[in-house]
Amino acid sequence: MLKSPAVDIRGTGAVTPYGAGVQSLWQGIEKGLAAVSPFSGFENEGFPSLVVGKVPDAVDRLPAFNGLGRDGNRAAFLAGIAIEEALRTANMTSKDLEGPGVALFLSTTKGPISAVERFCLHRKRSGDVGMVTPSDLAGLLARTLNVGGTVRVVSSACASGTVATAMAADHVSSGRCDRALVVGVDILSAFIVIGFLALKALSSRPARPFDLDRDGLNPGEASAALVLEVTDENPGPLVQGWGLSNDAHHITGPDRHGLGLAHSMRAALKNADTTPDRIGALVAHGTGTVFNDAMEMRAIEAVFSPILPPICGIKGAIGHSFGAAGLLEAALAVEMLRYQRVPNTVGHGRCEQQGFRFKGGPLERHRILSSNSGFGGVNAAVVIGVGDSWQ
Amino acid sequence: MISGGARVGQDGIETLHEALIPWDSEVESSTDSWVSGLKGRTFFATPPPRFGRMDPLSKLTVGCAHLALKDAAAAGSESVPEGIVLGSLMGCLMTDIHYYTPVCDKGLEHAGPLLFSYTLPNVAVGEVCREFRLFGPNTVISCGEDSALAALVVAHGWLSSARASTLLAGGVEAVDTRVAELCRGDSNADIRSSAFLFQLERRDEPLQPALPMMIEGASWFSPSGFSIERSADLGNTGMKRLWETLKIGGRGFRTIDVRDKEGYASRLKIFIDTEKHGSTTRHRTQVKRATY
Amino acid sequence: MEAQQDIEHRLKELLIEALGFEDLTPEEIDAETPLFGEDGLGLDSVDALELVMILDKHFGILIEDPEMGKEVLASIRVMAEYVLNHRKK
Repeated sequence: MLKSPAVDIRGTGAVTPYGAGVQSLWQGIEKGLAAVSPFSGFENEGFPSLVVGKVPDAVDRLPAFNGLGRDGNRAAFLAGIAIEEALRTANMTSKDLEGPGVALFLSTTKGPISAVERFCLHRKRSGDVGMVTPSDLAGLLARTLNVGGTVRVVSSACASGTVATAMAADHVSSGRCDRALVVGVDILSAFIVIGFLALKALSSRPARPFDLDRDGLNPGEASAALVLEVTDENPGPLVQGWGLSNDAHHITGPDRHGLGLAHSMRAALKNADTTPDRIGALVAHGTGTVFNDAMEMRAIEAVFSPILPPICGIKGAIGHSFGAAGLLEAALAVEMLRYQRVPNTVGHGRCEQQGFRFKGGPLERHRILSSNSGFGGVNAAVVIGVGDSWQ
Repeated sequence: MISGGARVGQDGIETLHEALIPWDSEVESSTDSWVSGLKGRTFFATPPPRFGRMDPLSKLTVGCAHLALKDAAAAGSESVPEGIVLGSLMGCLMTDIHYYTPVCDKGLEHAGPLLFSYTLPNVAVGEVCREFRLFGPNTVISCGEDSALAALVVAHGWLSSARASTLLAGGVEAVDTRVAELCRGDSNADIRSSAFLFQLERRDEPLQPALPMMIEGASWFSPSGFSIERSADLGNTGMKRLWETLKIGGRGFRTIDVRDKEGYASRLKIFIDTEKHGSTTRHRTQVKRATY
Repeated sequence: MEAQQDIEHRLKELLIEALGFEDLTPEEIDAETPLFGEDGLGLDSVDALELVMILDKHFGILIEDPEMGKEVLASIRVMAEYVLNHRKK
C-alpha cells in the first residue's frame, strides 16, 4: 500500500473510571491503582457479583459541554467532556471545529443504547425518536459542533476506536479535511453486561490482562477524543500508519494463532515505514479473557520476535470500554511519548510465557504500536510516534 | 471499477448482469419481515453450515455478498476480494430487540449467547469474511441515509490508496415492525429491508470489456438549508438510484447524490460505458483505459 | 416421568430450533453423533453455551463448570441421560 503522510495528534481528551481527564488516567495507572469497582447491579434481579469500570458520579456534576447530554443522554454527555479536553489541549475552541474543513468520526459499539433498553422494557416508544442509533448520536455531535465535513460512525466492535483513528488520519493526510475530531464512547448498560454474562466472558474479580490466572473481562464505560491535523508548528505525536484485517475464523472467538492480528500489525508497521525493532512499546488490547490474551501473545511473538517490546494494557485498570477503548489507548500512547515511559499493566501479575515484559519502565524508542481485536474477527493496529524534535 | 453486484429486496433477488428473480412464497409469507424468512438455500446451492445460526442482518449480508461475488465471476472477473466496507443505518437494531426483549420479559437467564453475538453490526461483516476468506480491511460505517453510498466512498478510498485491490462494498438494512415502532414511532411506518453489495476492483491497465468506474466520492454534513422526507430505504437510499444507473447503462459520467433530513450527505461520481441489449447489459468491446 | 427417548427427541427439537438448522428433522440426528468437532454436528463454544441455556430453561439444570459442560454435551444421548438424572423441571 502507499505510505500515508503522518498526521499530528493535536489534542486528547478522556473520561474514564478514574474521572475526567487524560492525566487522571495516566496518574492512576502509574500509581498502579485499579479504578474498576464491585458492581451493585442494574434494576434486573439476579446479577452475580461483578466488577465493572464505571465513570465516577463526580463526573456527572461537571458542566455539559455545549449542552451535550443535558437532556440525559449519557453517551453524548461523556463524549462532550472528552471533546472539551481535546480542544483545550489542542489550544483550540469549538470554533475550530466548525465548517466544511472539519470531519467527525465517532467510534461506538452501542451508542445511545438506553433507547433500545427502554423500548424492550416498556414495549413501546418513549423519548426522542431521533436518538436511537449510533448515527443519530454522531449527527447530534455534528450539529452541536457545526461540523461540516465528513461525519461518520465506525462500527468495528472493540476495534472501532483504532479503525476510526485510522480513517480520520487518512482523511486528514489525503486532504479530504483540514482537521478531524475522533470521538469514542460507550456507556455501561444492562444490555451489554447481561450479554457478556451469557457468553461467560466476565470475571468476578478485577481483570488480569495476560496473567496466568486471568478469567475474564470487566465491562466498562468511558469516552475519549482526539484532534488530528497536519501541522508544521509544534510537531508532536503523530499517527504514522495503520493496518486492518480480519481473522476470517469465528465471530466471537479469535483465531488462536493470532494470524489476523499479526497481519494488521505488520500492515501498520509497513504503512508507517518502520520495522518491529524500532517500536518502543505496545499498547495491547488485553481484555483479560483467556482466549483474547493468548491470541495476542501469539501475534506479538510472531511479529516482534526475538526481542519483544514492553507491553502495556489498561483494561485491568479501567475495564473494557468497547468503542472508547482504542481511542483511550491512543491517548495513552501520547502520554507515554510525552513522559517517555511505559506504565505498568494494572492487574497483571505473572505471565505464563517467557519473553513478555509487562512491568513499567523507560520508553526507549519513540514509536508505539497500539492494537485492538473485536467480535467479527476484526483486528486493527496503529503506529503512534514522534519526530525527534518533540518536547 | 464495479465488476459485479447484487441486490436483495422486498421484490426478490437481482444481480447486475442478470434479471430479477422474484421470491418464492416461503420468504414472502414470513410474518413480521421477509428478512426473517431467509434460508440458506435462498442464496446458496450448498448453504454454509452456520447460515441458520445467523441473525437476519448477517443472513442478508452473507447471501447478498455471495450473489455479488458470483455475479462478478460470471461476468469474467478473476479477482479475489480481500475485504468489505458495509454501510448500515439501522445496523443490528432488529437483533438488539430480539435479544433484549426476552431478557426484560423473563429475566437474565433468557439472554441468548448466540443472539447476543450478533448485536454488533460488524459481526455480519465478520460472517462475510469468514465465509469468503476475506483477510483484509473491513468495517461497518453509519451515516444516516447515505450510509451505503458512503461505504462505496470509503472502499473507493481504500482501493485508490492500494489498501486492497478488490473489495466488497455496499449497504444492508434489516428491519421489522418493532424497529419501525422504535425509530418512527409507528410499527406500520414504511421502512424497508434491503441489501446492495458490489465487487469493486482497482485496475491499472486497460480493460476489456469496459466496466463502470468510480471516479470520485465525498461525504459531508450540512444540517441546514434543505430538508427531504425520511427515506423508506434507510441507509440504502441512493443504492436504488445507483443500481438503476448501472442497469440502464449508456455512456458518460453519472452522479449519485444522497442528502438526508439529519444533514448527512454523500456523492459518488461514476463513469459508465455500456450498451443496453434487451434485458441484460452488454459492454462495449472498445478498450478503455481505466484506473479503478 | 418422561422416557429417555422422549427427552432425546425434545432435545433434538430444541437444538434444531436454537441453532437454526434449516431442513434438519429430529429423526435425521443420530443420538450418538458427537455434537462438537468435525466428525459430528460441528458445534462450537457459543453453541455449547446455547445448549447449556436450554438445559437451564427447559429442565432446570445448571451447568457452571465448563469441563462438566464438555462431558454432558458430548451427544444427545449423553445429554438425555444427564437430564433424566438431574432435572428439576
